[in-house]
Amino acid sequence: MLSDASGVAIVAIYCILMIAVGVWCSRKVKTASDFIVAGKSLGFWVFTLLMFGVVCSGMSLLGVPGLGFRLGWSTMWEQLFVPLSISFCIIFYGVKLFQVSRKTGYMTVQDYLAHRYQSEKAVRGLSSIAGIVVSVIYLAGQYTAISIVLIWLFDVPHWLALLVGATVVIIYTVIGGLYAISITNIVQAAMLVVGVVIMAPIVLSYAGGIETINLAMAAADASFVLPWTTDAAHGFSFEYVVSLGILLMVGLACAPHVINNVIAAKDVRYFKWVPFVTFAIYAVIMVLLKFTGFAGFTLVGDGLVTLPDVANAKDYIFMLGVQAAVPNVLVLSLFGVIVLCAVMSTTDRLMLTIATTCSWDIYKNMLRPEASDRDVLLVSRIAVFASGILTVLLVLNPPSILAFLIWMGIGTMLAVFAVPLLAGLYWRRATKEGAIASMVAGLVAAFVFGVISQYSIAPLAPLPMHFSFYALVCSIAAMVIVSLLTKPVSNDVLDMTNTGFYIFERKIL
Amino acid sequence: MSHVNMKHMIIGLPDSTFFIVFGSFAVAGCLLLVWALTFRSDTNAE
Repeated sequence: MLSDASGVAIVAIYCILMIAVGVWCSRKVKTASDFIVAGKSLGFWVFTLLMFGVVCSGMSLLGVPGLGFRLGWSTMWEQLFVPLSISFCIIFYGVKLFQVSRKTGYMTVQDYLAHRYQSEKAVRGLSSIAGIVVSVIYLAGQYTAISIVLIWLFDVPHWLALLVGATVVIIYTVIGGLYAISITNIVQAAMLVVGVVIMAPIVLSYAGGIETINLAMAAADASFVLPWTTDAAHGFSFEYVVSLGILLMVGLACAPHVINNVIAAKDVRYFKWVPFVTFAIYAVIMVLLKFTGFAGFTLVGDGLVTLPDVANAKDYIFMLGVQAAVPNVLVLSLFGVIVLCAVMSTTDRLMLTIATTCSWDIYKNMLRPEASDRDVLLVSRIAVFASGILTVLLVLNPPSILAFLIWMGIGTMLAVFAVPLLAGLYWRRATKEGAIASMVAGLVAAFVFGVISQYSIAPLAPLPMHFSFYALVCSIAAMVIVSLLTKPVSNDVLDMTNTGFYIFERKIL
Repeated sequence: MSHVNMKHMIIGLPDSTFFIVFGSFAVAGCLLLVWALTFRSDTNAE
């Protein structure tokens, strides 16, 4: 065991603090709107850090360095595109959704899709089920990260690590909803930023500095210092980088746990600076994280770090780098807390998203329209609890294809949500039938191309681009063809939902 | 294994890699600044 009683105390203090914040925020939760969208009252910094926190996950802290260590500089594009996903979300989805939601009272992005396409059952139902499935898969990946960190620190059994992590997040999310998530997120994001800004340079310095690291990478394989490679086995090719950019910027931006936050902001004027501020903060953090992965080349090469004998050994590189550079129990425990911050800031929002979809979209809008506000609030809380338990059970015996499922989840977000959303917001000819066709085509194509990519099925494999790109093309084709063949949505609805090729609401003269 | 010209280096990287990667970050940052500076704060959202 790396840590001792003091480490347990640090993690315990953090967990108690999160629950205390949840209890404090629970006083504000009186209605379903308070629980689901924090009364649409999030201020500038709360909203900014919420957007940063939900995207910056356990995968950022563990997977980003791991990928850098495995493939070098061609993976640096991930550090550009992930921060840009928040900017894309706010600029291309957020401004319009916010404006329309203030006119119509939307609580979720499914509200928008159902209204825009005049389809309370089919479009709302399809998008809700896709959102729940994708969120559960994503959630499973986050819980796996919690387990990795707690096992590394305290050598506890996998089930105990999951139980501790899940219990804390479930408690504060059940009692405080989005209020608790957004306030705990301030603490989590602040600790994450400060922790990475302090610890990453320590690891880099211990590894000999960035120049030494780059030279070591170039000596190992010149492909590692190229912006893209010609050989997929040695890094990301140019075509793959392009498809990854579309997947992350457009696809991650419309993930339900990300996009729903824009409805909870207090003022549209926040959207002026949030894209730049989140990009500036997140890009610095992401680049530092990637550098710690690069540091693995000298740390492992010089024998300063030994990778564990596990399947995802390279994902341990940042943790092992900190452990080698600062072998101090308190520092390691604090590092563990920082990873927990990253994981929990995403996990809580994912659980709330699943719960909201169940309570608001499925229960209230599809099954029982006469349900009272109090019923919706109760179902939301039960659904948070159930989603947490369900995911823990799923991760107790993680499927061997979990990593594949997570990538499949992100790809599915792009294939299922992006086209109906973008077409709905910007193309007046997009119809209900087109939206359904694009969702179904995107879902089927994501599955087909995902399996071809994962299992290298000839003759199509290896695919030169990320599999989600092909699914996106199928989704776009289905939307365009079917929409043009079917009857347009009425102009009243299109005007009400600000549909057209513009971002800002046009003033009626 | 790829061959790269390591004669011109910045922080141990081929300068083409350095400029392409960090230039992209700079361009993205500038575009977001343009968005912020041209944002119409008089939009009638409420």
